[in-house]
Amino acid sequence: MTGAPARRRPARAPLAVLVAGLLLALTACGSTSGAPTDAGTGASRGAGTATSTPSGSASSAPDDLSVQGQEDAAGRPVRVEVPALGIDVAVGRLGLRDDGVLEAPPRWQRAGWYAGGPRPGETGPAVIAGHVDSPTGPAAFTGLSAIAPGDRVVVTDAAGTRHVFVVTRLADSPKDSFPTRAVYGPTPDEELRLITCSGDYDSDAGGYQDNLVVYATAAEEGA
Amino acid sequence: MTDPVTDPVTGPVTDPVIRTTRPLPGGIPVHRFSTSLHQPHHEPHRTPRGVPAAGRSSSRRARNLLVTALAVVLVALAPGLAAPAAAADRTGWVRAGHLAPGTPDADITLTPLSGGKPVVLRDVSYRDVTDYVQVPTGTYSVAFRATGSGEDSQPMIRSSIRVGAQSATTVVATGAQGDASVQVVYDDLTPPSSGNAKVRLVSGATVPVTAQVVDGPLLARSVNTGGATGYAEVPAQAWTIDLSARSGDATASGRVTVRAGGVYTLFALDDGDGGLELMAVRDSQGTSTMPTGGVDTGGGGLAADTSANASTTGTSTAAVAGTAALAALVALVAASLTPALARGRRAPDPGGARR
Repeated sequence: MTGAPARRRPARAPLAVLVAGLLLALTACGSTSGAPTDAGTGASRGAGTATSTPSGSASSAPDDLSVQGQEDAAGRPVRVEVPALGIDVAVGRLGLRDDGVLEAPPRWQRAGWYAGGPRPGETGPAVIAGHVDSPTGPAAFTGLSAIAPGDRVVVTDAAGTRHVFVVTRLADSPKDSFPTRAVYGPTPDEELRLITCSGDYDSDAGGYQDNLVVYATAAEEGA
Repeated sequence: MTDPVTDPVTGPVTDPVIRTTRPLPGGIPVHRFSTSLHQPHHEPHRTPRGVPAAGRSSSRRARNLLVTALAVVLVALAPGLAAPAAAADRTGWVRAGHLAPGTPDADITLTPLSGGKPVVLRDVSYRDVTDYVQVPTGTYSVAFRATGSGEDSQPMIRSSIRVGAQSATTVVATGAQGDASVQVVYDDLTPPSSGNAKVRLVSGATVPVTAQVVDGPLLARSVNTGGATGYAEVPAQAWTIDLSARSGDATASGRVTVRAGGVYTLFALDDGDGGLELMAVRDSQGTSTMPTGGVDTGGGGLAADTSANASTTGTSTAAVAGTAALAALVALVAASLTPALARGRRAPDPGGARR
């Protein structure tokens, strides 16, 4: 961190280094591949550069470049809270069904994180889905539609780190015209999406007809 | 390695070409902003409007009328249902890179031409690429000033950029000492196809460079200082990239691990010793595979089922309301009769309940 300017989340850099150290310590027990991880190295200037090699002498395997912005800084999400709404639920893992559709959370009272995407606190859109109701009453994301831009969403990861996001917008859309790219597409910063159901409930047509998507972005340091 | 690899130099480049600009002598350069860059890749509308096929026009008109009527009713019944996209749609991302060897550390000021608070990226030195900052859309002047020289001092180099909604832009200083200029590079935020990553090269090297992904695409051929290539799609894995100068024997090589759903920029640089070096930055990240459609996240316990009589074939709204009220009443009675259900036992989880 020798005077590096405008670095990614400066206040969290020590944490990243800590996590990186932890990861290194852990991988040292299992894998002996010796491949250096890129975790944490983004904090030192010039760490991502490969030195020039004189012509002809570059026959051996080249160095691994650390990739700036690709540090693994977050653990698996285990809990999501919306303090303004009193939502505070556990988070499991979600994958894709055979037809490519995101699995519904297997438990009504528990939200699910799409494990095919970034973790909350990493660059990109982390996606957490939760049921708006069960067949008989409230569920994990009941009342989510009352969330408003500016509200905070806090995701706690398995290491106990709290990742804070601020809601920027919310939008309802029919499930058959779901905003896939806006929800799952690349973003340059740390983002969070909360998804639940909305609209009419039609049991003959697969249940709720719409999805509510809440878009949130990582809170500024100290927010 | 015959997987979905797009060669940005010789093959079809599906992504829009990245435009760079060079300063004109004695003034702020003119920039072409490619609006196509950020448009979703939709299928174009194929139905000609206002030219209904003969014979079907009346039924279509009737249906349109019905749809319109329904829309009006829906809007009237549910004001504020579709919350308009707020401020997030009026911002974009900007970052800066210092790729000009011999040029002092810089404070980079982005000043909105429409007025408003400037954004300053401080103490950016050679080889630094800052994080993106989110700024309101609009046109900005960009000034690189020597660090600490003050915001009223004469900039070393300057340019201007146009920031589009939900777009990402990189401004880089490139060029040899005394000959530096600002280049504007528009960054792609469209997702690669499933399991792939996107990679391109931006050159700050002061000699033309060629970059080859070993067992993959030719990334750049004789790209000049300040130039940017299009994006190549490569499967997510570790790749070796060989960088070489067009003339002379300077080379550099490095292994970069790219993740599915990621968009990457490789920077080619002078190493300060007559050679070259490579730097890798992940610009953005999406999901590795984008799920299809929406998510089934509800059991309906808090909703009035609209399936029974509420189809759109002309049932009066009174009937719908009556049905809903009846359903609510039934639900209430059921709930009061079976308090244990609401209190103790939870509904079976969706895995079992939903077939």
